[in-house]
Amino acid sequence: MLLAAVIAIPLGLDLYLPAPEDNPLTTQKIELGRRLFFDRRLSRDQTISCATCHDPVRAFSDGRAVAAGVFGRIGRRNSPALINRGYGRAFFWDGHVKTLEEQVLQPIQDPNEMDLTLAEASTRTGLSIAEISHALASFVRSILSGDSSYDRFLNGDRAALNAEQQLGLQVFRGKGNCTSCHVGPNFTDEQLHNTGVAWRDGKLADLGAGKGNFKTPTLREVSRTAPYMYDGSLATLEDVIEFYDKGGRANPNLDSEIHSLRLAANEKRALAAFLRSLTRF
Amino acid sequence: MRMLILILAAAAAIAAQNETDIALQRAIRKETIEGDLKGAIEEYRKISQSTDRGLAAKALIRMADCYRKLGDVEAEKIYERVVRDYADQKEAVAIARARVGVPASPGSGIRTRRVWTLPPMTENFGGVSSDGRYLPYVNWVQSGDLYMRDLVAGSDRRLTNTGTVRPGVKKSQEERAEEWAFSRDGKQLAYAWLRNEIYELRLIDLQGNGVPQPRQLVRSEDISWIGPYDWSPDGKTIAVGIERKDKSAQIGLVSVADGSLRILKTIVWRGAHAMFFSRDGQFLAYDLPSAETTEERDVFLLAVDGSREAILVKHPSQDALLGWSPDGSHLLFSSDRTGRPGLWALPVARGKAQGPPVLLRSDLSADKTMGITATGALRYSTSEVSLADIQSATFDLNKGEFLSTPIQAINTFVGSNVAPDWSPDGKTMSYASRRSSVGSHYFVLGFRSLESGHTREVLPSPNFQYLWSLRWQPDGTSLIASGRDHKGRNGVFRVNAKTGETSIVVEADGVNFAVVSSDGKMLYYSTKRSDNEVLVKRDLASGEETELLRQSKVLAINLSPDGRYIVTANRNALGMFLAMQLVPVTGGEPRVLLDPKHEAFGPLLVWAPDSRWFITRGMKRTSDGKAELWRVPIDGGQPVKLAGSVDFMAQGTFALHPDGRQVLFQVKVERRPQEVWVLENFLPVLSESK
Repeated sequence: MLLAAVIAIPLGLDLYLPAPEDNPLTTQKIELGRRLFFDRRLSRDQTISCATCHDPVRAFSDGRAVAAGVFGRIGRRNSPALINRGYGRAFFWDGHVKTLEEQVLQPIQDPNEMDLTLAEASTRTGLSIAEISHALASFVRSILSGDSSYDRFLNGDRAALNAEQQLGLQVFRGKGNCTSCHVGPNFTDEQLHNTGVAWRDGKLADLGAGKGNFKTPTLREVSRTAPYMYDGSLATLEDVIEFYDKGGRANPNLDSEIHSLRLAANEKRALAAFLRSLTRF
Repeated sequence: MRMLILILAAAAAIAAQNETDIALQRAIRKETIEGDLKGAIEEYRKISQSTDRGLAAKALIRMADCYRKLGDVEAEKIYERVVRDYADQKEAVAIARARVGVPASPGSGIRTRRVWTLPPMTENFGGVSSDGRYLPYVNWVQSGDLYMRDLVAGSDRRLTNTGTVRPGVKKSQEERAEEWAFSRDGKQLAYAWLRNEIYELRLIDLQGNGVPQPRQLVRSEDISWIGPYDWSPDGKTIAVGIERKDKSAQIGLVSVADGSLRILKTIVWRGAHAMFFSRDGQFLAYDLPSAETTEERDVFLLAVDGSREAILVKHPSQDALLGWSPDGSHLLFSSDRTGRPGLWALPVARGKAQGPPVLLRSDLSADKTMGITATGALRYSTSEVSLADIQSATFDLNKGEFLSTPIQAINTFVGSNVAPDWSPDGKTMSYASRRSSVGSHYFVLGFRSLESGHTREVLPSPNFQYLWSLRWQPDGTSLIASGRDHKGRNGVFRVNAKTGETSIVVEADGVNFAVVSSDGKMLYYSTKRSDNEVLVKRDLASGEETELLRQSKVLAINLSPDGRYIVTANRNALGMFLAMQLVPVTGGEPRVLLDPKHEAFGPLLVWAPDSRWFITRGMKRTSDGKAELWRVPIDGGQPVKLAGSVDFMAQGTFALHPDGRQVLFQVKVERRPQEVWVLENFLPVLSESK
């Protein structure tokens, strides 16, 4: 089946959207996945759906520092934006899951999120676990962000970015060293890095994938996914730029790519303006 | 009781097995890590007596490999013995067959022949026409323009005439050709063209005579490089490789009609060595490194509508795509899984592999595929390589002469070893060794212990596409390298001597030299900025930079032992020696020590320990084929010719041991021209193997 018949790939993204051989994208599965995504029956107290933490209005994030789950339980990490995850190679902040099919089942089972067994989820929905997994993964694959001002600029529309945003793009690729991690159409290398966010009071507040490493998030729709970092500890894009301008937070395992940037004030403003151009929704 | 005996017997057998396994690992270590081939042979010989036939066959193969490295014909006998006596050990037999060159199918009659040796100052970047007759090449003598060789008639045709590569033209104003691909009917040629520092994709019609008028297909300020790989069979689409300014790489499809570009897939930076459409045009085959940090490639097949991708060849070896068989039934690739690169064929139908690959030819000395012709011949090229080696000797600094005859310091991968240095404690000799296989080249760092004589090899990660200089940091735990890494970044890098982990210190264009001050706080490097070369001082802690010198071309930089001066050798845009200058690292005016009125001098070779003078070399060949040595005082005195001389082909700087006597230096040994070869008549082997 032609992929184009199922889903439209926006400008700027790869035409090839990976999907496992046993779960090819179909419109039926995407639609079923969409319904499940908003289905509160998938949580113990039936108050939480996937969309609670991944709200389409907020570019599939939730605006909170850390996720909130059933019975008012609080998670320990920020809800990542589910943007272009079909191109992902590692999932969750610590990248411990390698497929979307596996990823979508974990929040359902997490006591701090939806707190349901897969058997219970299956009973409640009348679907097999594989059907739930395949449908939710298919829906997540269909959440795509491209065709932004940035994409149009790259595609030859030189007026799509204003002068300040163009300066920001230069900083992003040059002095800011942002592309050492936020690279490619999806603005992520899908790798783990220690930027020092987890380093507090001389120790790691969260090991992440080990040694304070966390996965590089996409920057698509980034202006709509505050607060930032794995723990939601930085409220604004300007805060994030200041954090990196200072060279992250020094610690024994700080990534070698992180160092002080010495950005001028106009460069910081330009960088923020550029980041805001990565929005489509 | 019987049970106990059985258990004890089983335990004893397991223990014996473990012992043999350990012995094998010990022998492999002796062979590969310690480099003691003779010692390893004896170990393998003992293991080959094992009753475990799998283990014995494995040991025999490794023993034969050791003999082969020693150039001993005993190797062939052992391979033949494995083929003859170990038929039940299929993997070992396959490897032994490959090593002795026994064809997969007897009487296959595969032939190889050299078709053409490219003339000096020309370069091959692409494929041949599908009839195998025409081969374009870039002619550097003629300004980087594209020419086409008629391999049958032996004539040449000029295809472009706007190249500007010549002395005096700034890099930013250069125009030149690079990669190309023929349409299937041979009537059109797509090629990459550099103009105003942007690569564009152009198209020319080859019908008619004279220089064709090009049509621009793709030009984008965001694309730092674009190159055509193959035309779809219907002639409507060109598969291209793309490098973006954000250091991402992609596979794209370009419409021949309107030049529109569709991105199929974002890939690792090093990109594909080859891409070929399937016969029905529905799939695109290509090879890619299996991960950012590995040198080994696998072969993939992607539907051109983006609907699916399959890994066709996945193996922990170097697998590079060569093309499709003319009937489209097999995908041909090279693989070094037997220990050296061979030609393999994989049956493919409907986008999927239809069985295991078949070995067609056990050795294939190719660097790059040029495609399979319509008659089923594989055209491939070898690379033009400037070869170098490392020599060591005892040197009298005061007299400026060698006290011992320089000898080759590294005896493995001869001709591929560069950038020697001593560790700060003087206990280790380091160097870089360039390795290559089809579609890939990379560097291995060697660390030879002077105490044990053992060499430890480390793979930089990420590795390097180019490596210009490699010097120890004062702390003795890492080295400072300049070059371009496999993520596409130019600049200065820090390489952990133990792990090979590589991180970028500063990203900058055209960094040929980099050195760190003895206190480890300052980095000095040369870089290209706005058509000038600039000598930069960088505070490693703060990142603050100061320009110390701005010149047209910096040949080398050398920091004095007292850390106060840098001596630079410069040349002008025409490549002529301009000056040797003394640059104070604290700033201030550089002072010319040697200018063009002096006899031509090369780079500084070695500083005196007290930093009051240095030794440099002349650039004129003496009657005995060497280069003179001169002592140059930094106080403004005249240079003094010394008694000694150095191999005229010596390159770069001496690495002086902390004992002040032992030196290491790099010597250019020869230049291997680029050649075009053809491998014919391998398809019958494929038919026989079905």
